[in-house]
Order: sequence, then C-alpha cells, then structure tokens
Amino acid sequence: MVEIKEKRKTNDVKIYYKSLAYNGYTLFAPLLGNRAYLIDMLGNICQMWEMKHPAGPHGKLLPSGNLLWMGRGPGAIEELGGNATELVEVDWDGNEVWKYEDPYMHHDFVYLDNGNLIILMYEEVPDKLQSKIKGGIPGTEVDGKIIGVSVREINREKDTIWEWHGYKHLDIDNDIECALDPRFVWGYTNSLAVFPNGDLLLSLRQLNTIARIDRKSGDIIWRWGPEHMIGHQHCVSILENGNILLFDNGYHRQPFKPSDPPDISDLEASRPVELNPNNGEIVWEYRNPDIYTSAAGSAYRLPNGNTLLCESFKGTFYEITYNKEIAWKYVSPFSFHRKDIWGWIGDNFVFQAHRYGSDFAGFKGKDLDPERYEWTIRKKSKIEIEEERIMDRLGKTGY
Amino acid sequence: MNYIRRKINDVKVYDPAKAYNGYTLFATGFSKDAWLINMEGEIVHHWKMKSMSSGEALLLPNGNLMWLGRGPDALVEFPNNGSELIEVDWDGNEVWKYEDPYINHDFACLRNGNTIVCRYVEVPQKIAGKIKGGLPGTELNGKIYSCGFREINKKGEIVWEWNHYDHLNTETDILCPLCTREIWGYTNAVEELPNGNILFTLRRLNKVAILDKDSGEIVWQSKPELGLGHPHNSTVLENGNILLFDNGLHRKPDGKSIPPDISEIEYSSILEINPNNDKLKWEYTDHLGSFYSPYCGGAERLPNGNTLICETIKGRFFEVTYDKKIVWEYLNPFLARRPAFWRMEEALIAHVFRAHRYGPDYAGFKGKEFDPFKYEWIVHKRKNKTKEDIEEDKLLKRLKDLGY
Repeated sequence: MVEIKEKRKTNDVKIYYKSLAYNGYTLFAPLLGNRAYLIDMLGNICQMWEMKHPAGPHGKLLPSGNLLWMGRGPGAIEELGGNATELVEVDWDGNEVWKYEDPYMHHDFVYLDNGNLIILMYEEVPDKLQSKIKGGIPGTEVDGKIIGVSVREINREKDTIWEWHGYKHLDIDNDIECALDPRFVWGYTNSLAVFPNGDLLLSLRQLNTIARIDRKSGDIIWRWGPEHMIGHQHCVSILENGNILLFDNGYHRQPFKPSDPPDISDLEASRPVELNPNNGEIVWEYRNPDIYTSAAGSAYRLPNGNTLLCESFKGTFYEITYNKEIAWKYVSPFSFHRKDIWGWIGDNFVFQAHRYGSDFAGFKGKDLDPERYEWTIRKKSKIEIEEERIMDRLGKTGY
Repeated sequence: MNYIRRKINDVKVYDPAKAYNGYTLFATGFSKDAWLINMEGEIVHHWKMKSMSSGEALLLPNGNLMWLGRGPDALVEFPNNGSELIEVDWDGNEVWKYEDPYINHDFACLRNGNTIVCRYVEVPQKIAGKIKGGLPGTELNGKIYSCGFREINKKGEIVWEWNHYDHLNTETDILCPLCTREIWGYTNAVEELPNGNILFTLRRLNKVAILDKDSGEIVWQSKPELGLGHPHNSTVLENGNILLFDNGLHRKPDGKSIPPDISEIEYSSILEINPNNDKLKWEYTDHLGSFYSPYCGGAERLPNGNTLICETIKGRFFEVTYDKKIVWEYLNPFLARRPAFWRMEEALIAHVFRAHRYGPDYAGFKGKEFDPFKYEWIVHKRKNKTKEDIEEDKLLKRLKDLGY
C-alpha cells in the first residue's frame, strides 16, 4: 500500500533578496516521491515531471532541457544507502528518451559532454578481503558480507567503457571505517565529480575523506579529509578556480587531539567547505548552527559566487552569498509518506537542490508558466491573503 | 555594555492557559549577564557578573543567584571549565565565593547548606594505562583526567570528596570510540536525590548513574540498551523517575534500521526513565532532527507537568506539555562574543547551558521588585528606533492580531 501525502503551503520562500540571489529555477525531487519540481525564486512550480518510479537520490537537467532521473524501481536493494535501479532520461513533456537499468547503482552520476555517463555502483568485495576490512561496528555486515563501491562509465549505447573497483585501490590497512558506522559498505561513496583532465573526485563518507582517482591507473593520487575534521561529507564538486567545494555534514566528526573542540564548537553543524587542493587549506566556509543534516545534503557554487545549500532532513534550501548573507531560503512543502519503502515517513526530505539560471540553454523555448500548476495550490483563506499582504510590506521594509 | 539582540520578537509561541506561567532565568555562555524574563520575554531582572558564564546558573530560594563563572584562572584545556562558584544577592552583591580552577559545568546545592562541585581530576597512571576506548593518541599531554565531586561548606572547607576513577571499571567503562581520551567519564550534571544519593551523568560512557554517598559505591547505572548519545542534565522527578536531555551525539546505530545512512539521523530527545526497570516512561523529540543540540542542553519538569527544554546550540528554550504540544517558545536574543580559544574562532553565540523556570510564588521572589520598564533601556540599547523599526512594530502587531 502506497501512501502519498502532499501539502502545498503558500509561504514556502522564507527569504528572498533579488539583488543578492542568482535568479533562476531550482530543481529538486523529494525523496521517494515520483515527482521532480522546478520552481522559480518565488516558489511557484514552473515545471513538474511525473515519473514512473520514485526518486532514489535525485535528478539533474541536461543541456537539452531533458531530465535525467535516478529512480528507485522494484529490485532496489533495501540495505544499501542511496540505492537506485535506473537512470531515465525524459523530455520536457515526460516522454522517455533513454534508459539504463542496473540494481546496483546509487547516489550520483555525471553526464559528460560526449553523452557518456559516469555512475556510482555497488559491487561485491572478494571473500579473501572480507575479513581484513577494518573498522565499523562488529556484526553489522549485510548477511555477513561487506559490499564495495565501484564507478562505471557507459556510453549512449550502454556499453561499459571504463570501470574502477574500489577494493583494488583502497588501502586495507589505513582505510578504516568510522568506528560508529555499520560495517555494510567499505568505502561508502555518495558523490562524484570529474576533473577537466578526466580524473575523478569521490566523496568517501565513512572514511571522512575525499579522493582523486587517476583515470589511467585508477590509483588514488590525492586525498583530503579526516585531519580537517570533516564529518561524513557529501556533494563534492570542482570549481572553475580549481578549488573543491563539498558539503560537510559534521556527523561523526573526529577530533585528533584533546584541544580539538568537537564537543563544544559550532563545528557540530553542517557547513559548505571550499578548499584549495594544492595546499589543503580551507578558503571559504559557511557556519550556521541552525543548519544541520546528518546525512545527505548538497552545496553547489552558482555562477555569481553564491552557494546553494540543501539541508536534506529539513527539506530546506539556503542560497548564501560569498559574504555569507542569506539571499534566498525555501522550505519544501512536499511530503511523501511511503510506508512500502523502509517504513519511511520521510516528510519533506530532499537529497539535493540544483539551480539553473534563467538563461540556461535547456529552458529555451520551454513552457515555464506556473499557471499550469495552480491546481496544486489549495485555495487561500482570507486570513492568509491578509498575511501575505503584510508579509509583502514587511519584505519591503527590509525584514 | 554592548548587548546585541538578534530579533525583536523573542517569544515565538505563548499559550497562557497551558504554560506554567512564571519567570525564566538564563545566561548566554561566555557572557557576564544573567537574565530573568517573564512569559512575554520582557526582562524583569538582570545581574551583571564579574566572570563569564561557564555552566549552571541557579536562583536560590533566598533570591540569591549562584553562578559558575569563568575567570582568568580557568584552565583552557578543559571543556566548560570555570574557576569560581559565586553567590550574589538580588542586587548583585557578593555573598559567598569558592575558587577552584578545576570546577566545571554543574553544582548541586545540598539540603544541609553545603555545595557539591564537579571537578576535573587527574587519573593516576596505573589506572590511566588501562583505560580503553576513545581516539588513540588524544590524551592531554599523555595524561587522562576523570571527574570528581567535592562537597564544600559555607566556610569553603572540603567535607567530602569522591573521584570517578576509583569507582569506574576499566574493563567495562569504555570511552566512546569517537571521543578524545583526555577525560574518562565526563560529568556535566550532578544532583542530590531525596535519600541523599547523588545522580550524575557520564557523557562519554553514554550513561547516567547514582552513587550512594555514604558507601561511595555506584548503586545504579542506566543500561546500554537505552542507546543514549552523550546525555546531559539528569534530574530526579517527584515520581522517582529520571528526566534527562539525551543529546544524540555519537549515538550508536541499532544496526536494525535500514537503510543505514537514513537511520543515521542525529537528534536530541528528552527522556523520562524509570530507574527501577530502565523503561522509557515519556519521550519528547522532534521529527527528522530539527530539535538537536549535540552538546549541553537542559530539561526541567515543571510543577504542572510541562517540561522546559533548552536547546543550547540555538539558544532556543521551549515548553512542552505532557502531550508534547509547544506552549511557549523563546529565542535567546542576547548574543555573546565568545573569545577565540581552542581551535575556535571568535564568534557571536546564542548558547545557553540551561534555562530555569520559577513560578511567581517562588520563595526567592518574595519582596522583590519586578519592573520591566527598568530594563527598557537594554532593549533600546541596540539602536534608537528607526522609522523602519516603528513600521515593523506596527506590522508585527497586526500580524499578532491576526493570530500569527
């Protein structure tokens, strides 16, 4: 029995400074909902896709305006985080254009200019390595086994043209799972990005590490992580200036000496971190004790220098300027309750939020008229209309 | 004096019919101010202290304020370390003082007039060498400390002392694997029970315990099955149950929830536990981690059955009824400038260790003057009201009239 609940309020945009924001459209998919929403800066739905299967993690827009959707169909593996079964490309009207199925895909994918896709996968770890993997809570393997991660590149014809196996390149002695995590995946990866030279950047959550993978040898040629007190990070991306942006969840952050302040500092919150990979230094971060999501979460740098954050467990998006002002804040009003999956009462959980500028190529010639979705908004009461008027005036006075 | 207020509308929710009406005492961490506010958020009394708040601040039945302060002598190596416990009268005059650079977090005012303080104590090397758990190499200059209690009388004499390391078990009291090894146990709350026993927390061992003051033995401790995550502020209720603030930090996943990364929601909860059978009698938590303070945090059961909760990291206090409705909610508007220390940068913070509610009939209020107008100047200190402020006030009033 599938139970879907959706609510639509009128005041989803909590903060909006037009002059500070990177104005455009925001794409997101409430977890386990069958819908992808594209909203404008005022929270109006300008485009909506109804998908066959619910979002595993998320979807992204392609330059053509098509939606590439990582969906969770039947056959998903319950025990594995971020698991999905298909990548589906649909056009603006929701017609299926292309599809790739594999029950081992998870979390993230990158669409390359040549049309190829790089996808995160789960895979089996050879038996002889199983007992040697260190860390984690003993006895929490899945049916006694630890799963590994791999990365696969496929072309439009769905041929695998390159593959990377985590267990061959991780260090069995030093890549030790966080002591308070289950021993179910070695090298749990939740995000990937591609360097201009083709190398890959992976976010290894339970190792509190991000790693650069040499595309030719598959070797890990650069690492950054635990010593900077990041905790179970998500969403790595490579910026135009060569720096790396990530979403540091702050979950299970590890101190390295007694003078490290995990107990008492603002670090026990989530934060976007921009780091310089050449010297490992943090060049920008945004701390706000109100923002905390122990899992998931995203941070994307926008063309005007702002950063769009997704605080997943609260379904809240923040757009932060480089000077750390909040330019836009939105709370997703969509809840999908799916008792058939994990007994999940997900409320308004959103895995990631993506912003596309008004001049994004994929919007050319597309219908973005919010009137088409007026039906999703329940009729406002008198008191709400009055409230909106007052809020509007408050907004004009700078509050 | 430079008070920085973050918002004008501090009281977010107030249902006078269901709230336990009275006055709320609190202090922003690292500030030198104790504030007493009424249910509308108006300041009715203020103490200016000489040292920074470093833990508990309590109003005594005689109307005096007991303050754990961080003076210049405090040791920077330890969390929530203070250097003095000071009692001042309603007008801020010093009545009593105990100085000790090892005190921290909390104290208990005993019925016999004495006070128990929590202290950091070095663990002798022959025990320290056997302590298990924690992150390797994170001792403090090679040493491990534990906590200890010291009872002092009004003359400042030590009349009783109890050190954790003598009573914890190196085989079973294993430090949380994600915590540093410099403190074994780690107590952030201490309270006297009606029978004279002492209730206290062991944060990094994820439990609360009771010690028999006469024998010095630990006579009860919560079971690991409760799944606590670095708890705070354990208190005993009239029905004998224990109320505590379970932070949820480093809570061990139960391994049964799937998928693991979604079950890894860190959230705080307020638990009422029956110590006789370790059963959960009552619990408050907000869904999906929106109520969360990884460190500190307060929970106080009020005489009408409501619970006043302090979510430290956000400086948010809220009162919930027994059926878990929020009937009062307040955001601490007084930000304090925390100096840079440890690895922390200087920052403006709203942290409040605990908030306490006192009914209007509280003995300590007898004969005291409550005049919010006396403190109007603090509200206006921030800046003189601009046109926009006045406009905003008008609009907010209309919103309020509309029921928002």
